Amino acid sequence: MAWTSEQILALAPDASSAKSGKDLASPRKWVSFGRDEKTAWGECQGSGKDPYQTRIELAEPAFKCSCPSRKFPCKHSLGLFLLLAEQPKLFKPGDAPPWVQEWLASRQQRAEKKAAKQEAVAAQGDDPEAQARRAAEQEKRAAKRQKNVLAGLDDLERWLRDCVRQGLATLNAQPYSFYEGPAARLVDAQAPGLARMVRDLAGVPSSGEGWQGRMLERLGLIHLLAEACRRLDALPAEVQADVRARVGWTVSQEDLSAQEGLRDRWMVLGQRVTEEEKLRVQRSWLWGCGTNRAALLLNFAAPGQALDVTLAAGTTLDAELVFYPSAFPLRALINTRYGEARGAEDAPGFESVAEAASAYAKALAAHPWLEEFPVLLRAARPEGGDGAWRVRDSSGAWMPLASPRGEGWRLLALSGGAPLSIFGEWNGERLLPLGARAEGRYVRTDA
Amino acid sequence: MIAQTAWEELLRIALLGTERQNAGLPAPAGRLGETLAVLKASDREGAVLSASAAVALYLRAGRLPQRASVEERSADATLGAKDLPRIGPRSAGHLALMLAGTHLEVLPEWLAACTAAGKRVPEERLPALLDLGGEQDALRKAIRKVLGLRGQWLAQQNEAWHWAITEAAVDEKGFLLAWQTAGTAQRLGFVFGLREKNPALARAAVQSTWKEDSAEERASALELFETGLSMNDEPFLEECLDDRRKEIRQAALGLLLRLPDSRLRARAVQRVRPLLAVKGLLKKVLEVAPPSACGQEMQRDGIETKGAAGVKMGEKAFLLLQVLGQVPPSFWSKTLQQPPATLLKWAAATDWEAALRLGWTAAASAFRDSEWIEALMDASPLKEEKLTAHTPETLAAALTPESFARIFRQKLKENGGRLAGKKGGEGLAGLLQGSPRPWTAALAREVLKALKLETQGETHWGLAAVLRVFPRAIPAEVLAEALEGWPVEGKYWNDWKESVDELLSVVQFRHDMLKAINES
Repeated sequence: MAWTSEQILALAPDASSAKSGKDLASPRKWVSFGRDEKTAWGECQGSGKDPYQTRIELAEPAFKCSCPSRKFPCKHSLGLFLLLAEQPKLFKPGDAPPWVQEWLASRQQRAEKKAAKQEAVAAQGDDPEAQARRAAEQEKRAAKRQKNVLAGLDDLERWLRDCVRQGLATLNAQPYSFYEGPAARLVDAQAPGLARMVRDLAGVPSSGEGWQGRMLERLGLIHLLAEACRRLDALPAEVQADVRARVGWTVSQEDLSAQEGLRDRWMVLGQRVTEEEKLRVQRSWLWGCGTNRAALLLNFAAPGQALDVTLAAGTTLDAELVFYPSAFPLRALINTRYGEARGAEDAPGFESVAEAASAYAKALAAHPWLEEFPVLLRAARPEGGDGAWRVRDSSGAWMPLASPRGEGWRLLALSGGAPLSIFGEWNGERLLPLGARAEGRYVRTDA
Repeated sequence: MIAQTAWEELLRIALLGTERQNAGLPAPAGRLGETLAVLKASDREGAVLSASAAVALYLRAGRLPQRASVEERSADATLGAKDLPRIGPRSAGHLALMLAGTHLEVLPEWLAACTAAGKRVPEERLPALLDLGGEQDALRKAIRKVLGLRGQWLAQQNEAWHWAITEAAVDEKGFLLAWQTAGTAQRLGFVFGLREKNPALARAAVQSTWKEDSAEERASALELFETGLSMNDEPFLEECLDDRRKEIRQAALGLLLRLPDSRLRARAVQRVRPLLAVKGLLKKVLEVAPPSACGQEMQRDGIETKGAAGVKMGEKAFLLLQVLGQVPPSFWSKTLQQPPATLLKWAAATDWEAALRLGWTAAASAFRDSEWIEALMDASPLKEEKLTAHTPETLAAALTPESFARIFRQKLKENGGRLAGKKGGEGLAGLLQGSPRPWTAALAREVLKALKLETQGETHWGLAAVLRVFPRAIPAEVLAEALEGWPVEGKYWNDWKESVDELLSVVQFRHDMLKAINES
């Protein structure tokens, strides 16, 4: 796949890296550069005596640079990559110099080591004694955490009941610390998911008219989650998984990848990056062109680190996904990729607003704590104007559209008044559009 | 009891707080009621919370989509109509970067290149571009040309974008009807679009509402008459000279001066003809007879009796200056049969030097007379020139790029190929700042060569101005050369590096964007 400048700039860990990268995307800055089928490399004259050696493995892409920057990818990697995208003819195909080959060899070695380790773990798994020992250790840890969480739930329940006893009308006068206190205790009790739900309540009183209803709904759902967590053993396995995930238990990726996957041509319909407690979280929505089901891939990056860049909105990957256990499986991992990503495909999606609404009802019945429901509407028209956007299907049924960054006008421009495919996140009230496909062309609609 | 009522009841209980009341839980009919009935009434707070979760989920899952009535449906666009081809993805990326604020200053060049390539911008960038045009009037003309049919359609959907609409109804009657109901911004769009194709209809439309429209509106419309201007507009413009508002009179005056056959031009020539004469046989002198008073007809033609504050000039001199400014300076070279340089030399020997020089300068600049501009730029500086905006630098802007290049290269040669002045002065930098753009390729190459030479030496404030100008002034074909050949090994390069690099990033961007524009 050919990378565009926009995609490459999206890899930048922050705005200043992007700017420096752009400035370095000029042949004058480079002492030498070259490429072969899978790699590109260059030497960049910095302030030091020796030029920095920058190398890029194009498929993944992976970066390595000899500069001392702790940012990743560094400005040299970005600059070289941009230069390659913008002026590919400058890069004469040739044999990789030794410093590139060494890096590729060490990458190869690491990959082999990792595979070997996985094999060893798998092999160990066959040993019944070791297996039993590990299981016992795990159980002990789990029991301790369970106890911690249950103690945290007692505190939480007291707090929830106090809110209802004293009345919600007083909540808009409460300071931030009113929510931060119980949230912090939940973090201590190893229930970070619940903690986030409580912390998010702080914004509700200032969310405009009708906040009291939204507050009560959220308090009810937190209570429901706490109750479910207490009676975990009585619930079906999938619901248990959802409750544990929402409370804050994580599932080991190794356990997951051992499960059976689902292979399809997965179209990346939209991407959104949010900030959560200093972490950047990238949400990538995929839609199976054959299976007509959605998947959500989450990717986390610490400050200064790059997000996963191999998933570009508007591309399709042939891959096997493994879904996290859930009563409404949505979150997934890529287990195996088959070949490079291709251009956009026509994912099926929902034929009508009614179909989407009924699918949402089913999803909610299975997973009451579902926050964003992916909706791909096949033939919808955006309508409205500033402040009141909606998408309407051919029957006249419509859903309200969120347009925080001019999405409404952008969609209207793409439609030209005719129906188009719109993808977005439905939160039960508004559809936040992330991408659209019109006249055979996929376009991100969020910026 | 339906679920919505149950929810409202629960919300009422929760708002007041359970400690202030003793109401029982709502009991809706059906499955929802059965679910709520299981809750323990003794745990009042717990029961309210559990019931809230159940009822909220019930409502959320059961919400049916709303339906729009048929009348509310929007009219279909004229899709399928043949629109201009969309620019390629790389160009789209360049446009997105500029709209996000990077290198926004080269957007006009990009818009022109896009127009020349016969393409339109991608749909998803239309809103941002239309918003930008709404903020910056100067960009509107260029933006209207890259919108395509889709952009025209979109502009109709948002009142704030009506300025961009250039296509109105198909026939004349329909157009004049549309004109009546259109807002100011939209009317200006109509005039803009129509002046190229049917200037008479645009004029008729403007005239049809002339009496009701505000002076500001009328003046803005008149300014657009520049496109498609012809003698057909002359009678109307001549009438405008009698308008009560000065902005209308001035707009009309500017246009009439550009029409060589206008009655205004004839009157202006009539007026100046008797003012200058060459006398003497052996030693020739210029005889000057300045106008003695400003009659009504002169005032109607825009001649003023009082200058702006700060003009230190007698009344007669000021009248002379103004009437000269309304006549192409070539009139004098022909009538008096002398080249500009000679006339300027003779003018210096009269009592009216300042008025003559400034009048000719204004005329040379307004009528873009290269021969006169060159002569004026060569003439020794005049103290009073500080009184008007017409310094040699602004005169240069009225030259064609070719004439400017010729003059500048001559001056560069005289200065030993150096841009900087002696003893660190500004040198030729100031002249380049006011230069007509883009430069000719030959001039760009010489300036670059000189710059690359200068950057081998110490940094120099006089050159900063040149450095700022060149990235946008050099023509497309020289961009690639501008990126190479800088004295990076030079002793002083580290002092130059940062500023040069910053400017070259503009050059690089222009280079990339112009190259990409023809890609599909």
